[in-house]
Amino acid sequence: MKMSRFIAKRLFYSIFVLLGLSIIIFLMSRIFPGDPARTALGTLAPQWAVDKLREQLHLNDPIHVQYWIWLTNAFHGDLGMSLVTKRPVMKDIINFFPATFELVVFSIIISITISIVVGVTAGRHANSRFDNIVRIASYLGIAIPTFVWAIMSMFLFGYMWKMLPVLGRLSSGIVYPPRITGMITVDALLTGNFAAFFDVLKHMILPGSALAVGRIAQDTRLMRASIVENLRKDYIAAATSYGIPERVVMFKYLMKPSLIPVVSIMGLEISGAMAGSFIIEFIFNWPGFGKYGANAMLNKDLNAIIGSVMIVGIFFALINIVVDVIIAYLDPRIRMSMRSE
Amino acid sequence: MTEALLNIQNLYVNYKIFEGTLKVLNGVNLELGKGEKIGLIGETGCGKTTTMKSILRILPQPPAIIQGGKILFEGDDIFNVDPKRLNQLRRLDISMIFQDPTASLNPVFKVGVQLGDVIKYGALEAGEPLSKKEIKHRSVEILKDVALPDPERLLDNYPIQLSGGMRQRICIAMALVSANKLLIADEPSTNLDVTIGDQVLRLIGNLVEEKGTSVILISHALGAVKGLVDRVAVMYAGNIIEDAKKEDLFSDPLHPYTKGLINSVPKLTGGGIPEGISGSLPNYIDPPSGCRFSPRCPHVMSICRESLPQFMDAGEWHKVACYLYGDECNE
Amino acid sequence: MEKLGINKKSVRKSWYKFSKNPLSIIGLVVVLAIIFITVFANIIAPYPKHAGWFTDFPNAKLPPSLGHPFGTDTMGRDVLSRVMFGFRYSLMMAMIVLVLVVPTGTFLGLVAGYYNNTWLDTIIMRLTDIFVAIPSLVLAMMISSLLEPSLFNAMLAVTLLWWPWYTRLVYGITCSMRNEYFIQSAEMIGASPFHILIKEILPNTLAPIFTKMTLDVAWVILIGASLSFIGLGAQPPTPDLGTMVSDGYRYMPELWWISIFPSLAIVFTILGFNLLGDGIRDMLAAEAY
Repeated sequence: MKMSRFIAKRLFYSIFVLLGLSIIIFLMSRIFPGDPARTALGTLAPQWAVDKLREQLHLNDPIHVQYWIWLTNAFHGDLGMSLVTKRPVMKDIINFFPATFELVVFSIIISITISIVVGVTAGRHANSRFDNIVRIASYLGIAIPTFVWAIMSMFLFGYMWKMLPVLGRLSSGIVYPPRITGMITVDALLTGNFAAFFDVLKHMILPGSALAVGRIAQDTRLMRASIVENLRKDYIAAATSYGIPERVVMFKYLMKPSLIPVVSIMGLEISGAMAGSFIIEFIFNWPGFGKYGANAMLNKDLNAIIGSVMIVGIFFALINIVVDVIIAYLDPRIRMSMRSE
Repeated sequence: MTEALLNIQNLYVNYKIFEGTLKVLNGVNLELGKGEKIGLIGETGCGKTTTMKSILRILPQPPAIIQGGKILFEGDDIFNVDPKRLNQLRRLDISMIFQDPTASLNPVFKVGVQLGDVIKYGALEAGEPLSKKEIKHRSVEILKDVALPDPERLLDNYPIQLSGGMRQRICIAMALVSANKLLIADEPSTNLDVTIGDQVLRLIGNLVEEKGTSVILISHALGAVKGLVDRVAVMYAGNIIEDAKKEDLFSDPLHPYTKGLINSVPKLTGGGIPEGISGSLPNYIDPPSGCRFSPRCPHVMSICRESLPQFMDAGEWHKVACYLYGDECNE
Repeated sequence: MEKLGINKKSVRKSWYKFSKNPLSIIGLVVVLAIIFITVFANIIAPYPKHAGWFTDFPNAKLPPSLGHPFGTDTMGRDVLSRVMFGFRYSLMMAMIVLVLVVPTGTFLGLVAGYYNNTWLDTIIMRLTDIFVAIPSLVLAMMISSLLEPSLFNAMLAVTLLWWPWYTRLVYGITCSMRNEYFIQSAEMIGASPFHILIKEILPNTLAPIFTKMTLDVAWVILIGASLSFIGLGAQPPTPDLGTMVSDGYRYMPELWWISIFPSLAIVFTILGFNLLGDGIRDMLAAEAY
C-alpha cells in the first residue's frame, strides 16, 4: 500500500486506541472512590455547596452521559476547569507545553548525539577497554532511576561544586523575552536577547541531562550491539574486499543499517522523556507541562489529570506514526513489505 | 609450468572461541599460476573459505588468528604488504565472489550505489578517476556483461527487489571489476537453483576466458567444478591432501579420502547406493595428531598418526599428501 | 523436573552459560544479599523499631557515624535500619505485582494467540494496545492519584498496567507457533485446546517469560520508587526507599545522608536485578557461535 494509505490507516487506528484510552481513564476517574466536588471545595465546605457543584459538573448523571458530555467538550477543545489553577485545562496545557517541549528536545539532542558517538566507537572497538567502560557505565545508567540522578546531580553540580543553577527556568534579574513560541530559547534568539538565551540553557542542563541519562544508557547499548552485529556481516567484508576505503565502509555502509534500530526506538525516546518530565520538572521546579500534570495528580485535580494523560497519549501516538514513516524511508525492506500488502 | 601467481605456504589459522581454540588451518599449501583455473573441493567446514579470506585479508581477527605461514602474490608477502599495495591488490588484482549473494549485498543501498563505489575506487587506483556519469556508464556496461536485462533500471533497485540469480550476477559483476589477475569464487552456484547455478558458472567461465584471469573455484560438489577448471585440489580438515590435473584426479584418485569422495557420487548407470565415508570431520579443538584423516582411513598406518604427511609426487603434476605414496612405506 | 529436561548435566551447562559473564555473578550475589536482608531485617537491623512511627528528636539529624552508619533522619530514626526494612517494601511490591500479572497476562496471551483472528483475539489485543499507548510511569501515576495514594494502591496501579506486556509477549510466541505443524497434528488427533496450550505452547514461552520477569523486578522497583518519591505511593512513616528519598531531599545538601543512602540502595537493587536478568537471559539463550 502506498505511504499515504499507510499513514491514514495508522491515524485511524490511533484514534480508536485513544478513544478507548479515554473511556478507560474516564471510567477510572468516576469509579474510584472520592468525590471530585468535595475534593474541589475542600473538607470544610458545606454540603449544599458540594451538591450544587455536583449538579454543575454533571456528576449525578449516568456515566455514559457524563462521558459523552466530556467527549464532545473535548472535541471543542474544552477539557474542563482545573481545580488548582482555576483556569481552563486546555489553556493551562497550551501555556505550559512549550517549556516542556524545549526541555525534551534538548534532552533528546543530548541523548542521541552521545549515544551514537559513544555507541559507534564502542562497537567498532568491541572488547577494548573503552568498550568495557562503556558497557559498565550503561548498566549503571539504566539502573539509576531518573529522580535519583536528578537529586545526585543537583547535589553535585548545584551545591557541592556550585556550577549550575538548580531550580527554575530563568534566574531572577534576567528579562523574559516576549512570548512568541513559548520556548524561551527560541524566543530569546528571535529577539536577540542573548542573556536570556544562555541563562535558560544553563538552567536546562541539569534537568535535561537527568532526563537523558536513562535514554543514553539504553541507546548506547543498542547502537553498540547494532554495530557489532553488522560489522560481522558479509556485506562489510565484501565491501572491504573490493577495495572500498575503510572510512567509507565504516561511515557509509556500516552506519546506515546500524542506525535503523536506534531510529526505531525514537518513539520510546520521546515518550520516555515526556513521562520523565513529570518527575524531573517537579524536582527542578521547571514550569512545564510535566510539573502541571504532576501537581494535578497530587491534588486530585481530575480534569487536569485526564487532560494531561490524554495529551501524552495523543503525542505518543503521533510520534510513533512519524517514526514508522521515517523507518520506512530508511529501510527499503520495510518499504517493500508494505508495498506488497 | 607457469610462474606462480599465488603461493600459499604452510598456512596455519586458529579461531579462538569460548570453548577453546579451533585449529582450523593446519599448514595449507597451494600454488596457482598465471591464467590457471583450479577447483578447490572439500566438505563444509574444512577450511576453504577461511583460506580464501586470508588471501584478501578479510578474515575477522579476532576471533581468527593467523598462526603461521605465508601467502605470496606475485612474490609479495600479503600479510606484510604496505597499504598502498594492499589497496591495489583489492581494487585491481584479486577479488572474491561470496557464497551467499543476499548476504554480500548491503540491503539498504541501491545496487547502483554499491556497484558505482567499486568502479569508482577501481578506477581511482588505476590512475584514471571517473566522473559520476562515466561511472554510471561503466556500471551499465558491466551489468550487460553479466547478462542482466534492463541494466539502467536495475541500478535503481535495492537488492531485496531482485531474485537470487540476479543478485549473484551483480556480485559477479562487482568481483570482476576488481579482479584482473585472480578471481576467487566461493561456491557461487550453491545457493541457486540448479539451472541458474549452471548458467552462472558458465558465465564466470566465459568472462575469465576473455581476460585470462586465474580462478579458484570453490565447491563442495564435484560435478560443479568439472566444467570450468583445469586442476583440482582437494581439502580435508585444514589441509590440501591432493592436488592434480582434473582428468587425473577423477580417473585415478590417490588419497583414500578423494577415493571415497569420488566413489560417493551416485552413478545413474547402476551400481547401487554408494557407501560414503564412515566417520566425520575431526574436532578442531582437539584434532588427531599427524594426518587428520587417519581416524577414518581404511589404510591407516602407524606413521600416519605420528606426523603430518607432506606432498609426495605421484606422477606428472599430481601431488598427494599421504604416506601410502611415500618412500617410507615402500618396504 | 525430568520432563522439562532438567538434569544434572543441563544444570551444569546452564551454570556455565550463566557464569560466563562475571557481571551476572555480581548480580546474583547482590540479589541474594538483598533477599537475605529482606528476610532477616528484623534481626540484623540495629534499630528495628525505627522502621515506622518513632521519634527521638535529641538524636535527630546526626551525620553518619559508628553508631549510625547511615546517620539519622529528622525524626531521629536510624537510616540504616530503615533502609534495610525499605528493601522489604521494594521486593514485596515486585513480588506481588508479578505474581498477579504474570499468570493473568500469560493466560490472556495464550488465549488471544490460540484463537487468533477471532473476536476474542481482537478484544484482548486492542485492550493491550490501549495500555501500551501511554508511558507506564504516567499511567501508574494517574491510577495512583485517582485512588488514595498508598503503597497498596501503588501496587494495584502497577498491576493494572503491567499485564499487557506479558500478554503481548506470549501472544507473539503463540501466534508464531500456532501454525507450526506439530500444533496442527495435535489438533488433528483431537487434542483439546487446553492440552495444546498448556502442554505444547506454554513450555516454549517459559524461557522468555522468566527472563522478562527477572528484568521486570527491576522495572517494578524503579516505578514503585518513583511513585513513592513523588508522593503517590507509600506514605510516611513507611520506610519505603522512594519515600525516604523524598522525605530527605528538601534537606539537601546539609543533611545529604537522608536521601543519598536510600538512593544508593535503590540503585543497587535495580542494578543487581538487571545483571541477574541478563545472566538468566544468557543462560536460557540458544547456543550460537
